[in-house]
Amino acid sequence: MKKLFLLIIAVLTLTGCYDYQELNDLAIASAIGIDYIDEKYVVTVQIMNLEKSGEKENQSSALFKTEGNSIAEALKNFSISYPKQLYIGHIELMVMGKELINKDIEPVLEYFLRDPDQILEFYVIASDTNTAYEILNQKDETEDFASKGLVSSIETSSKQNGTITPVEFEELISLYLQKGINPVISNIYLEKKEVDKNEEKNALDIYNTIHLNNLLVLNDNKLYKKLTKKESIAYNIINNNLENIMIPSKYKDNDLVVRLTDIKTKLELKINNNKLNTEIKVQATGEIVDISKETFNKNDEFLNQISKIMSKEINTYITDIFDFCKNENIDILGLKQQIYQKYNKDYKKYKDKNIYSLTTKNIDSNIKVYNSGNTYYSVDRRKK
Amino acid sequence: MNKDLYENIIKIKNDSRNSTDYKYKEIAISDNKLCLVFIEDITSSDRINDYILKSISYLIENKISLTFKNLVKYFKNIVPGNEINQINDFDDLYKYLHNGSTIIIFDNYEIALAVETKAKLDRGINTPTVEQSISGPKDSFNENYKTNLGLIRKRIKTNNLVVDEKIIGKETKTRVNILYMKNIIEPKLLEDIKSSLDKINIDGILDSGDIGELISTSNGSFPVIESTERPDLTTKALLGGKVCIMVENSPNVLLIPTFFIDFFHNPEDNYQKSKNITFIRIIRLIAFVLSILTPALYIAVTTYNHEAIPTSLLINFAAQRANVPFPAIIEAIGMSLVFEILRESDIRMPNQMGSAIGILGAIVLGDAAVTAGIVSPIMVIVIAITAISGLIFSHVIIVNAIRWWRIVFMIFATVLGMPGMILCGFLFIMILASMDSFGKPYLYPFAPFNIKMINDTFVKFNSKKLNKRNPLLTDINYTRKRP
Repeated sequence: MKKLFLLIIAVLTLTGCYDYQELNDLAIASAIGIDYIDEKYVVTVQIMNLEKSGEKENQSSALFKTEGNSIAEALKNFSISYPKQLYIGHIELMVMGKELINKDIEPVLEYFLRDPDQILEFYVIASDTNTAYEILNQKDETEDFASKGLVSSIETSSKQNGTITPVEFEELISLYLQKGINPVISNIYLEKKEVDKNEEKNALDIYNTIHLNNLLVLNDNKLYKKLTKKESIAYNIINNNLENIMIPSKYKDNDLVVRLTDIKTKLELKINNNKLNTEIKVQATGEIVDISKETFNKNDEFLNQISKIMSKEINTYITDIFDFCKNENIDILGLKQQIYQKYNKDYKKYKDKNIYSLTTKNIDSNIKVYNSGNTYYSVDRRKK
Repeated sequence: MNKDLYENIIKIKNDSRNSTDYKYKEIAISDNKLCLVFIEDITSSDRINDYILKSISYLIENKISLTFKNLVKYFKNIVPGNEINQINDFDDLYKYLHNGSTIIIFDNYEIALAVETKAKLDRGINTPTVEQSISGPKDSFNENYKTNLGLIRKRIKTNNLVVDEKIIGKETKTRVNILYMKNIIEPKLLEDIKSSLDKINIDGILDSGDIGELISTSNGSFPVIESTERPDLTTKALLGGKVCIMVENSPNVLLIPTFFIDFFHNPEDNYQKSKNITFIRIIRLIAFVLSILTPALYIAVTTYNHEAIPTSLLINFAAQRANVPFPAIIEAIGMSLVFEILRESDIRMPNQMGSAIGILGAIVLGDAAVTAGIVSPIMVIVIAITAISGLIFSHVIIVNAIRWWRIVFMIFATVLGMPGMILCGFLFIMILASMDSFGKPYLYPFAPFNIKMINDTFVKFNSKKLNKRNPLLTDINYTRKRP
């Protein structure tokens, strides 16, 4: 018991409550946007505004802009304009503005990686056409905090659409630090809506709509190029990022849409006698979602035909992204990484070469369309 | 004793300074004189009438004149009464007198007789008030130690049950019984307990709690001696190889040694299906952890380790704390204090006024304090969870220990946050692990670890599989049940 008292007294007198911070003295940030304008970092912080009015708690968000020569300075300058201490440990989203991503993102990665209070599990998105401030300034009527809306958009869009990849800060750092692979992040941009002059004034509120679309390829700390929609989907297929995806195609000049599920892709590079060969195996099951006009009988032969069409289609997707890598001489699929991991001695040899032009590729898509999905008898048939 | 009757009486009167409840009744039978001395409050007048006065009036009515020697013989052998003792000196006389006997002093004779005429001064056998259970026996000990012994003898009907009596207390002369099973008990444990009882030199023992504190092997807040009011639990402990100490005028029996895990077992546990008991015991463990850690965790999370909780919960906490004027620790300690005061006053209050306190507490703690902006609603929830979890244990003694450690954890959390809690957690386990109950490690069977005895700890295996006694408690009779 004496020891316990001694310990309590020691703890009470020697520590000085370092780091003590009451929760209600914090300005909790939910999202952060970083721009680089006129050689200065402009940090936009979305603060959760917690006001208790009577019984009901009113949660809303407010945007604050601070600037400085470094990110740390900009965040420090926050206290000039806001009475509470800024707390960015719980942010859910980081937006990188167009100037920043075109200049150098490393200082951002550096600052957040080294901050001990930071939870690194927030999504990072970037915009190639807008500033982070513009993106965060969009009002979202469905959520209390605009960032919440964006986060759920990222999650649903990546699952349903396949054109973006939700990249968390931690993953981005790890991709950034790995040898022989180029990281990608999702793109966000604002689309200007045509404003009808006859409409009421408040239509200005929805002047812009947010679009999450396609991936941005990074190379040497900055934006290199934007992928097309097809390439983005191919990237996600190869990296097994998709739960399911709708692939449009043609069947005897009719529109056909197939939903692929259980997509499993294996990308393997082998070196044999200094000859490089890349094997890509795509396995998936599919079901027909839409086929215009009823031009088929639901039998195995028909499903086999569809399967073949889809396999070919997927082959074109993958060929596309391969060609992209070849033409641009970048490595987003991580072939060099495979060499680094499996054939470490050869890595130096291939390090600076365009590996996609050296390798032969062998794409093997095996799509099995096993049923006609939710399609029922067509209108044509019902007429008869 | 003196030969002269009157001198004897005068001595008793002087010794007792003429206490008014000492009664003297002189009777003459033919030529012989005798005097009855008894203490009115602890003797039964019916018994005095039936045993002594009726016998005397029989002599007088029938005009039987006895010689002096025959008179003493008559009282010794003919008078009904289950206990008639011969008294040679005043020490004996007082012992019997104060135990409720009636003393017959004869004139011209050095020997007196003590006839047992004790009055029943206790309540009957009632249902347990603290350790209640739905199933299982409903009897409990009372203040009469003979009844208590009877409740045990009723359950163990062999002569392996040994009752060993000691008198402790210079003034109270309290009878302390040591009960054990001679075919199970570990001799060293028995020796240890007896010698520590012998060391007690005190004016009075009023309850078994006095003995418990005096012989306890640990000064920590966690008890190393369990006390129970249930005869069935006592019997189970005896059969398990424990020693029971039964104290006169105390409805609580001490069970020695006691392990930490014993406090997680309820009387109910013996009479229900073992799978369900396992579930309840795990709930008790969770409640134990919650009761100790919840306020500390809340303080650590809201003042230091904001990163440890999900964002939505953080926002929730921040919104609720927005208008509270106090730091979290003051809020937590204040609310705990109010709750403890309420609990204490609720226990002390007569039952009729208890509900008033309940209402007041609910309004003050639950609603008004929050509306007034003194505490945050989440704090009320934290304290409520803590309090309710703490009350899951039937032993008040462990509830108090939990309360003490809760405050220690709160202090560490206030000063060092989550790392402080971990530090305090180490300290907690270290202190528990270094405790012993009469030489038996307190955390057994976890430390030292014995996988064979895990079957009746936080889990309970099917009774069919509980074959062995605790090896720490017995050397000779290890098997409890043959398969």
